[in-house]
Amino acid sequence: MKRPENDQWLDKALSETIGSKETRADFEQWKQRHPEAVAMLTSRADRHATLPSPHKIRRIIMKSPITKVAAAAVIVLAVVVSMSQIGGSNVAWAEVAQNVDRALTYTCRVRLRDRTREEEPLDIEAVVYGSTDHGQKQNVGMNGKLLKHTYFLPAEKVEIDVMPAEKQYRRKLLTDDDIKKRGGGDMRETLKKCMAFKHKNLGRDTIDGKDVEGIEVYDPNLCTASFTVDSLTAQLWVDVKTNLPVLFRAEIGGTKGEEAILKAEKFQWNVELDPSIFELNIPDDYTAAE
Amino acid sequence: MDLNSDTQLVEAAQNGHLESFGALYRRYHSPMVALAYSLLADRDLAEDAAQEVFAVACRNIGNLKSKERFAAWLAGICRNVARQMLRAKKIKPTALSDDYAARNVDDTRDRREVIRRAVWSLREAERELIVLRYFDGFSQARISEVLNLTPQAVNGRLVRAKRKIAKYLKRNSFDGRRS
Repeated sequence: MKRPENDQWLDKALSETIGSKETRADFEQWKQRHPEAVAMLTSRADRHATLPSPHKIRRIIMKSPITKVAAAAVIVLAVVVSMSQIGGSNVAWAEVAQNVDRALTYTCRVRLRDRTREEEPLDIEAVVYGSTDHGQKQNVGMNGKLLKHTYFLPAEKVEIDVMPAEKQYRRKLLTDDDIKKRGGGDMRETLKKCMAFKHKNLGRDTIDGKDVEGIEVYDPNLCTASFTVDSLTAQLWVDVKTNLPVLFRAEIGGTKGEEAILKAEKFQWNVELDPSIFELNIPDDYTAAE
Repeated sequence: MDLNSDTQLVEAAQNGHLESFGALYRRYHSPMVALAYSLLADRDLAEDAAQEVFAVACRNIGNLKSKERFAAWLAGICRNVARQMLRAKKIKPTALSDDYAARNVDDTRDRREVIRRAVWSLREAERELIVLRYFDGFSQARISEVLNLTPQAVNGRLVRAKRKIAKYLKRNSFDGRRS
């Protein structure tokens, strides 16, 4: 990460302008002003006091030898469970990566918001269809208008853009290196990379009514962009029931101040996709773009 | 075991131990004032918002399941409280005249206003970071706790936000060597 050069003056100016003179954390005064909140909190102590303490419960149940064995079993189980939850995670990320790798098909909606020019942000949206057998197709729109259909056909080592508005198409031959570098042009590769990178657990949340668990990755090597990436923060959220991704979001910063947000959501995994989706049909009156 | 960790204090507070909640109050009061200030652009209102944040937290602490995420939970309450205040009082966060930036910046007061305007021209997430960093000199580690980001993410975003401020100031003929 490059730092702005000689920005000590800026640190000083910011401290002088927004620095705090004094904030008084006066808890006694706060208590006086919020007696109702204090009463609610302290009433919790009363509730806990009326319950038998864990110590008392143990003395009662441990009198029976059968209970002692059962308690030992519970303790062993608890240790196993807690070991599987080290790092606060209940999701087996290796299994998620395996599930993504083994998914034969998927669809998702990808949104890319390029905020480099704040006054004129670019919104690119794509519906992505991926198939291990057929390759990948994206229906790409920009600022609400259909821009192109992109066919990524690694078996034929070719990528083709078909642009209905211009009645044009663009064919690009791909080298093995191109295909490898782009991970087959496949969202699945980005997701797997995300899980393989060093990450921080974000814990649980809910997305579209699904219980999810997330990780956060900070690594500019995770995604490529049309500019040189120098910072990237990505979050991946996974359905804890299916162990499959639900949402991927990345904030990408470039060396020249470029900024973009990539969001992939509405994932459907292992769905039946009509092979005709991937069939390349270029109408006769379309011409090759330069 | 660190008996003063957030997790321990939250657990004790959930069991009705008021002084543990007091320790959390003292620990997070200043970051909450800063966070509210980043939204409200008014120090007195930010102080009021922080008071309310802890009242809401005190009433609802029993609902917090991920005790280790107390700071991020509190920050979420803070944003809600500040936004409610903005809506209720119809406050405009940047109460600066539009021609301010276009004028030459001569005296200290004007220079501070331009810097302030540069900060408030940032997006909310960036402004939060800058205000937390410079309001009371919070470390990146502490900011990362409050905003639930990795320290690296905090660092990256701070650098980008500062670049934007520098760019804004340059556009407005601000001479950084004069202070």
